[in-house]
Amino acid sequence: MNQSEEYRQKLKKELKSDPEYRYAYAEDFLNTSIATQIRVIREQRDMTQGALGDAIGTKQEGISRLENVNHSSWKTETLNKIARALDVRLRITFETFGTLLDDDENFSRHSLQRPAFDKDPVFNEEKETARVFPFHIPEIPIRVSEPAGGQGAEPARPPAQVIPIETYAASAAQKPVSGPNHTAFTKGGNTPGIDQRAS
Amino acid sequence: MDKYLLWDFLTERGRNILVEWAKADRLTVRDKAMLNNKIRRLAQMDYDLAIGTKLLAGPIYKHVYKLVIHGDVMLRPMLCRGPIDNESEYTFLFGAVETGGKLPAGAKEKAEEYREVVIKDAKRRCRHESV
Repeated sequence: MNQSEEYRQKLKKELKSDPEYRYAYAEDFLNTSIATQIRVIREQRDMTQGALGDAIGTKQEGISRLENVNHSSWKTETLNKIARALDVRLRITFETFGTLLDDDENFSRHSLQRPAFDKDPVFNEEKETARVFPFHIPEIPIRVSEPAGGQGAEPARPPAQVIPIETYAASAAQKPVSGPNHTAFTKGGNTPGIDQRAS
Repeated sequence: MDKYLLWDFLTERGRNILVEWAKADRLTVRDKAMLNNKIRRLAQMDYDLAIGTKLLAGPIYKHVYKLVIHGDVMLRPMLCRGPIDNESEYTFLFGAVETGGKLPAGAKEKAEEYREVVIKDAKRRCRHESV
């Protein structure tokens, strides 16, 4: 068992053992997370505490208090102002205690960072596509599995086919994406065209 | 993957100083939960963030820092960076409760003394245990 799995199991046991412990841990985790995330996103924006204070109509000292991990009296109104100033949305949800294990394990500066709206990949699909595929791909070769050589090898199969992407796309578009003929691509599944032995 | 590996100082009798402190000062269940959460976050945050969010304060004396936890009482476990590898570990040296903004007399000096013990003998610490 590795270190994080060991810690996870221990935390699970502690949360299960006492409701008072469970609530106190969850509340303190929440307070710590909010304070830390405000600081992390503010730093991500290269913003000073004073600038964030100006944006929400408070003093630098007020932001310093909100970024203190021991702060515990949050106001939704203030958090909404901060969300607006940092160009993100505020989400408040009730969760099961089970999700606390993952949240606890994944806590880090990186996991708390959020891009501003103009860098949100969902609203920048064209830019994202251009970044991932900066060049034109004329055709996609469809690899058919080839047997390994040597004794006991399977009989030779036809060589790999090369289908122009336009033909492949047109053919794919005619096929239903769900229904009786649809084959889900799942791990270990029998996906056509994929050599299962190779995985 | 945590950023820091945490260690606890071992007394001459080989007992974990933080666990002993939690028992001796009779920390409440709420205190223990808050203490364990804050310690866990310390392991996952980079040093600048721990200082910036006031989770960690110091150095309050030579190489000694204190973890700041507003529980039922003002919990202030004391620790140092390293001391074997300052960039990847913290060692808890002494447990204390602050009253009226003051640590118990001699607490931070004791913590520094224990830090020096660990530098001389790395076996005088063990992997951190939650309280």
